[in-house]
Amino acid sequence: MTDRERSAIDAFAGHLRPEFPMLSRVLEGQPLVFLDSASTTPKPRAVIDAVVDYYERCTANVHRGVHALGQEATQLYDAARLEAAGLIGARPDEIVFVRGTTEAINLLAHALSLGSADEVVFPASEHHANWLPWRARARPVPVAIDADGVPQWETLESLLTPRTRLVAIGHVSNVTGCIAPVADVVRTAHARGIPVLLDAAQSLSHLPIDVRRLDVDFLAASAHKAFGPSGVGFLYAKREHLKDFPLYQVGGGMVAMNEDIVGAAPSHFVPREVPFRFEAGTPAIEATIGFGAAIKWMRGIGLQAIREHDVRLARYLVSRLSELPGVRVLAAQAPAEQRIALATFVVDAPGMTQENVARALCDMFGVCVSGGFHCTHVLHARARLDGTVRASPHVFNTTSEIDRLVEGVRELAS
Amino acid sequence: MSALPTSAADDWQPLSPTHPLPDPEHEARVARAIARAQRDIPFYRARGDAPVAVEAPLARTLSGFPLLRKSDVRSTLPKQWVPAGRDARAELASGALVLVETSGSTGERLRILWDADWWMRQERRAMRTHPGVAAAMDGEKGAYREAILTSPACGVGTCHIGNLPYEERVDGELLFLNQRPDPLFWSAEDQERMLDELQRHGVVGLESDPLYLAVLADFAKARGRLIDVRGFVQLTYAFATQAYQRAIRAAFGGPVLQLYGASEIGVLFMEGDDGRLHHCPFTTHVELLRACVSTPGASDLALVVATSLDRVAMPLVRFVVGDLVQVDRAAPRRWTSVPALRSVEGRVDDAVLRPDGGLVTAGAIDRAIGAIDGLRLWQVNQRTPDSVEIDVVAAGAAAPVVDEVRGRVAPLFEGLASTTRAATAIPIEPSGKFRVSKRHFSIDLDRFFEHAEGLVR
Repeated sequence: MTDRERSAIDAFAGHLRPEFPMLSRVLEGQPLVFLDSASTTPKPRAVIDAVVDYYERCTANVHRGVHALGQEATQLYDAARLEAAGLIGARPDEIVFVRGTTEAINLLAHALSLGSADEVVFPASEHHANWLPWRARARPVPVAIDADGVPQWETLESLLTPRTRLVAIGHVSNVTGCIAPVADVVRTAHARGIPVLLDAAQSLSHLPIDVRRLDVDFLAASAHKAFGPSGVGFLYAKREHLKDFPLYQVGGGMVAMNEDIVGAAPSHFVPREVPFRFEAGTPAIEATIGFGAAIKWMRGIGLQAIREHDVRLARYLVSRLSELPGVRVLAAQAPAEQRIALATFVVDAPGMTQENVARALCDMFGVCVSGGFHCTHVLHARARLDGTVRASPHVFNTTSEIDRLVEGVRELAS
Repeated sequence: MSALPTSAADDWQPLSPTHPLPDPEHEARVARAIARAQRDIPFYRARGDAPVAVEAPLARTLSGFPLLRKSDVRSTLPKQWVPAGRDARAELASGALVLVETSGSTGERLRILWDADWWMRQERRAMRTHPGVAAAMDGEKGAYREAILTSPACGVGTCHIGNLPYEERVDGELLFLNQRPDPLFWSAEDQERMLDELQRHGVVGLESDPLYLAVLADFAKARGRLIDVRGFVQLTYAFATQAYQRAIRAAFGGPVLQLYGASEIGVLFMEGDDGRLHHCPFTTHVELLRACVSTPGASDLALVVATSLDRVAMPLVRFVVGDLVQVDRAAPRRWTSVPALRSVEGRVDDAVLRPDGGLVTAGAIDRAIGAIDGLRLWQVNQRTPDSVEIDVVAAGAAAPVVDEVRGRVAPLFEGLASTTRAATAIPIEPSGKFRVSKRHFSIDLDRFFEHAEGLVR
């Protein structure tokens, strides 16, 4: 990597770092190096302020309150739906707020009314969130993966049958960081009339996403991996699909009129319009408001600018780790343009599990990374990996922080 | 049958139900209305203003009264606004008085009192100032039937009306079309129903919020249908952008007219056959406080202040309506001595403040960008005095529209850090209305408008 590219990374990150209060922390006398954004991102001041502002100024329920605070809270909450829609090029009535990606996929699994003979095709590298809902309701059909956990996409078409109800793919693997060939997958599936779910948990804050251009039928995402609070995410569904979804949870907030009034035989109730009919109960108001602030913050930077930083960061991260003896980086050959800034690797450190390595990086060097199986037991089993370490930098990380990770790993591997 | 007060003694006489006449007594009527309010209404009595001199020039009479803000009214309703000696509780129970929630489109919502039938009476009178509308109301297009398309009465989010059948949404000749809080979430079935009901009801006049109708018109066009209204469309309730009007005209070939008023004060201006907005007689007097700062993109800008003439309960004297207008002083004054308007420019709370002290109205922004091909919706937010954000919703590819908007607003927002971005919708207000422009901080209006002492918004 050239000095110019390094400078570009550091200038971009340096500009944004002051917006993250947490990054000024010191761990065991060392400045914090946060490289675990694939688990959850730190929160910028704009998000913290939005949440605190709700608590301090307008704590009230939404879509119910007639007082001024209720209206203010409702406005802030509803604005978040527009932000989410705007981020992915969807209409706001195609966005259902849920607790996160996991609930979004479970909602979809419920809506598809799957039976045990129905098949759902997805890569064997998928996160449990995009595996177990299909396992629980249908017959999972995994796409084979190679030794590094990269799906063998060329086999996809052969797995599609008349019983295939859905193709469900992670946009970006939470293990390899590789970007799925979404356009090819959609073309293949749609040619057989099969809808496609895109799990955007790892891509939402890294890549510009346009659901119209990608032509995916469904998209699931979480706020907390995109600089927002935990406890909220959304399911995008094309309008023609969403209008046919059966009701999910029922109760307050999703009903326009309960006509079980006269005490005689129960009549029925009238659900609210889409998407509100799928959002029963009081939602995660402050988290959703914070999510709106997070999206606005990201869009203020520009998703394309974020992506350009991401590509440079990916190149630097993978190349630096790959040069270390005793370290194997998964999918190291994937070019930076086809991955995000995420590297999962195995450190040959005698007597240490990969979890031990991750702990040591924190305790000895102040570097926070993930260690273990990253909710992908099958990938690790098929790749014959007894755990891995994952470093996942983001917009605020500098090259010197990557250097610290590399020096830490070098030390442990030696 | 309309009625109007004819003397200081408050005798109410029938007014011709046909075409209204110019009011040569307009200014004398204003003075009498103020005197009556001072005499009868506890709020004015308690304020202790000097008694009005009925024979004095109107301008001098009015200048003796402070401007009336919503906040002055909010905390004193209803008892301070019912004529002394009348029982507000009993009259509310009997329906002689009606308590109305105003939309609060700027967040300044207000409960108000209407005399029974007052709204309909004065609105019809105002509508008839347009000869085409008067003819339609008199049966030129068949029996007069009207539909209303705006937010349901419940506003946003607290609506629990379910799906009311057509019959339960008809009140005499009036049909209330909408029963959902946000048109951006209307289902295809709901929009088909509304289009069907326009036909079924035999609608001659449709009164609509501009964005609501634009959404329905877009849907109708996509389905190869039309807005089936035999006579005219009357846009009111909110600012009508060029984009909304384009969408409406693509699905409706008849006249699309503007009616400008406010729930608190009644209809102020109705579009005439000359395209100008003319002050409507017998309901209000309007003062137009001239802007004393630069107003890029707008000329002869004024703040609207109105005094009611025909209210028994809750007469308002020098009420700050909160809207900005472009005045056309050269146009003939058809019905009263109040000048005609070139345009309604949006709320003063919507106007963007420039670092040089100038005000940019929603109307000025719309004139700059409204003709851009593919522009569907837009919203400007000014959250700080030195920045402005513009959200742009395009009908097709967003990037070229965003770029063009960015370029066209640059001169208007000179000195402001401006961010323009693509969006897929703009948010609804708690009132059920949509604002194309929002300033999120207050300004001292007396710095910006002549004779606006003490006004902070």
